Amino acid sequence: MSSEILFVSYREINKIINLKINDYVKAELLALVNRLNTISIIKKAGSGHIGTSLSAIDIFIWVKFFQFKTYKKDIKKKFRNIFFSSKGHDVPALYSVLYSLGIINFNKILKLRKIGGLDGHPDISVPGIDANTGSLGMGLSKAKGILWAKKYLGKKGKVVVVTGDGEFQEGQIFEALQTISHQRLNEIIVIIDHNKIQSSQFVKKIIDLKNLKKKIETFGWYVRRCDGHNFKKLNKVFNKFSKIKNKPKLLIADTIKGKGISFMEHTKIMRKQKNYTWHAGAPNNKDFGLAQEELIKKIKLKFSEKLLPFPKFININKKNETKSNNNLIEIH
Amino acid sequence: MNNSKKKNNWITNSFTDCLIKQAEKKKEIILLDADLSDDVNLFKFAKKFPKRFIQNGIAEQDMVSMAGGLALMGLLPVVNSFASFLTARANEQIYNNSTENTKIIYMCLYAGILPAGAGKSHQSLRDISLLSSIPNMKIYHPYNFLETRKILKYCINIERNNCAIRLSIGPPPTGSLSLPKNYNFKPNKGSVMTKGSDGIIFSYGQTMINQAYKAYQILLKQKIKLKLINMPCINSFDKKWLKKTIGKIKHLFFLEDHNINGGFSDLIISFMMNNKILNNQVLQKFGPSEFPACGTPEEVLKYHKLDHISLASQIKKKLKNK
Repeated sequence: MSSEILFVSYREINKIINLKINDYVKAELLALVNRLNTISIIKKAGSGHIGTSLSAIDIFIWVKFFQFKTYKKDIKKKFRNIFFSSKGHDVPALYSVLYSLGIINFNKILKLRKIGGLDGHPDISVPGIDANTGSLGMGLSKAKGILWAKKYLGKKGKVVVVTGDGEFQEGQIFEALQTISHQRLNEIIVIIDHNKIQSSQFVKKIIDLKNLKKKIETFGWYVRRCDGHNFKKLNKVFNKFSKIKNKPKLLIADTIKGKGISFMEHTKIMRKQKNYTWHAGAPNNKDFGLAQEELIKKIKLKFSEKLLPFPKFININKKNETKSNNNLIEIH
Repeated sequence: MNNSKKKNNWITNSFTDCLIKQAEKKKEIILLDADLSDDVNLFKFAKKFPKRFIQNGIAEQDMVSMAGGLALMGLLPVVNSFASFLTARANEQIYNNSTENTKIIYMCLYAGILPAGAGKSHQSLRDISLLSSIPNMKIYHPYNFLETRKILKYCINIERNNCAIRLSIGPPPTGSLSLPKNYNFKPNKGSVMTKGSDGIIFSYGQTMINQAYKAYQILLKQKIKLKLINMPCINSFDKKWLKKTIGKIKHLFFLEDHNINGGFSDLIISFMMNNKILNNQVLQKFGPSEFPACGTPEEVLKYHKLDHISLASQIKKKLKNK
């Protein structure tokens, strides 16, 4: 199993999308197959940010598929819903989601971090990517500009931006919190992927964010906090947000770095280790094999629970192409 | 002093008046300001187009990224602050916007060494080096009010790249040379301000062109004739035009009030080398290499040996050592 790199194809994912089932269950199925595709994208590339991709992916799934839908036909239109990640290094998960939406094709996701393929951090030359990010701290300001322009031009569509929690150490974020509130750009929605770990350490150990909710509320924002892996709770917060008109809105989504793969979840690792070891870099063959096995088991269990046929998997590594990657390539 | 008519020939006023005229025609022009509108009378714009003026407070990074968002939606943001703050503090934000291949116009106020009373925190001597490594960034420095209008119109209507327009603040120096009759701004080219064949001075901006012209006058009395060229395009050049303009003239001088490392001089000399324009010419750069001094204009130019008297003597010395 260890030399296989398995994907669930767009066709198979489309079958899930078209199932007549409850949205929360559908989101769970989509999240599982997208987790598999995400780690495979990173494994194929040989590098990429796995922990943050897995903490943010449920938010991506909920927003893109259910809350503020993205359609392929609209990706260049000014009235479309704008959604991007300011931290940017979670882009393997976003690519996976964009692939599931039929916006980028399979050949592209096999070429993460390769010339002519997909950039290691978001770039608008890739369909479905709404802003260039990756250098931390700029996303709120950019989203603010997009929202201002939408209002000026009379164009509809939501503006939602995801940030990291460590990213709240950047000064520009606080410039933006202040100006967005003053300029009454209240329609903006910010989601903090609060996975508690930056690079390899706890945020609270590097620079503690203290009472983040209170801090942001002081800037004139409406702030909610919920489990960022629970679709029901996410939905509830978004419903609440839709009723708040007089303040910009921010969700602190409590997440787990590495969520979905037991031995990558920070909640487990940080009990035993001083450092979180799955921030950047592709897993070696053994770890990848274990991660893949665990996800496939979960997929099969979930599908059989719901009496659904298993999705088919494509193995792109028939010729044993993967180089052994025992050392993580640490690029933050 | 408060007579605004008297200020019609100020670069900053000319810029604002022209921007208002352009904004009347182009609804996509949006002005962003980091609370430095007074120096360039942007309140006139704000009064005329209150819905198209974004006061962003003293938050340059946020302002520049916001401009990036506006540009992504097809608007044309014009971003105002002092060059030293805008291009240095928000440099990464400018770079990030540039990678999206949108178009933004950056107003780089208070470019250069004068006025020198505020000192090194405000004088901008690094912005060219900070911006010129961004591939789709065109940097301009208009010489006077007339050229300011022409360059702004060009940047708004024709230029496809991002534009950084360096603007000198304060009145034009007394005894300023006019631009040639029927002057037309041509991208990548300069304009010949004085005729001569003993050497060429390439320079830009009201401060240094004025010193160069006064140095020219001193040397003219000593029968040395210099060709003075105004180069408003700081980082893009026309090979053919340069070749023709230089001809067989042996001595080339490059004069600026940006830091001598990484400024216009370095850019044009590299261009000349890469395009085989040079033919055994002798080159000399003049410009500050230290932190800029604080003082009156005369004191500071003299301190950095950029006043006309120092320049004339340095040029003469160089020409004698043929």
